[in-house]
Amino acid sequence: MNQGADRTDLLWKYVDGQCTEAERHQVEAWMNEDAAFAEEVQFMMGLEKYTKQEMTVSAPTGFTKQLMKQLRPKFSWIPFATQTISSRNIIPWALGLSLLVVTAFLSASQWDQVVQTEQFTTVENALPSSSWVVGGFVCLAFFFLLDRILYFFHLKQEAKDYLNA
Amino acid sequence: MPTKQTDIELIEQTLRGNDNAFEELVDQYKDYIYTVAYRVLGRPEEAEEAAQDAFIKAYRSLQGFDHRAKFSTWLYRIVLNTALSMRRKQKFYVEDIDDHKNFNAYSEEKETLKLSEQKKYLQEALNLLKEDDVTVLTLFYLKELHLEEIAEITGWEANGVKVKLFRARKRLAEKMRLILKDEVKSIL
Repeated sequence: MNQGADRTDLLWKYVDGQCTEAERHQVEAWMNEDAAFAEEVQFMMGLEKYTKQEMTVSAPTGFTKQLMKQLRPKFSWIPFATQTISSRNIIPWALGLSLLVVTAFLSASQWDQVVQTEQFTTVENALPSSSWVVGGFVCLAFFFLLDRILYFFHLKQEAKDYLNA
Repeated sequence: MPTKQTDIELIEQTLRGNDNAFEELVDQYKDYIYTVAYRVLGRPEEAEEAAQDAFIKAYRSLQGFDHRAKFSTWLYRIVLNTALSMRRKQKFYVEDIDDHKNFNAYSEEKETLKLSEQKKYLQEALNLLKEDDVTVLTLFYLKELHLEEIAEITGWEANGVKVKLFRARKRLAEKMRLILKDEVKSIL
């Protein structure tokens, strides 16, 4: 290794404070002998201190606020997207559906009894068949429930797509 | 200083839908993340965009974050990739010292460098360096990261990082000399 390379290597070690005692004395001796080298060492040490001090830049004011404004609406999506269908969250849906079916059947039988009483006998022919009314109600309720279930899966997929994009 | 435990707790709370926990993470890291983006891109508006993008990407990938890893390393990797990809698109950096005057004219005209004079000189010098030099210098001086951590963030070999850092520091010194000229003593 030539003296120039030695000097450069030692200069960097000196700047980083990694010189041994002997190396430090050597660098200081060179500095005393050579004004240009001394200037070089001073410059490097100054630059090192300066770069460390000045590297960090503060984020603009309101950075967090602006970011959270974009993200907040998506927050409910994380637990939603990771939610799986378990016995715990399917129970309310199953109970709701069973209740709907039972109510429909009970209403149908009650309605038949009412229609068959004398009070309504005269207008019986004018009324639509009770089974049609109940059937229509059940159909509406069924489609409403189906829509809600499909919408749930649609949202879940949308949330997953957003998070995995 | 944020601890690893705190970061993990905040991540877990975020995954349960607690937006305040994520806000706290953003507050803790915003300056470092913004600095990486700013030093790579050299312009505040784009740096802000890159930093915001990085946090959004981090939020969206939070489920896949490996809790054994260091959150800050993972976050630095995201912002670095985001900023580098923006830098490649904009092709803004100046490779040749001859273009230095043009760069100065540009920055003064647009008044984009809203930094103190002290910080401005450093950014001017960084803008004259190549992508790898800027990356390694920013990560090294930002929080005095270890070479291994820089290697993990950049995907380079640890030995490669050492060599790159040595060369980058030399080049930074050259550029600073050219930029500062007679002002060296007053600045440094």
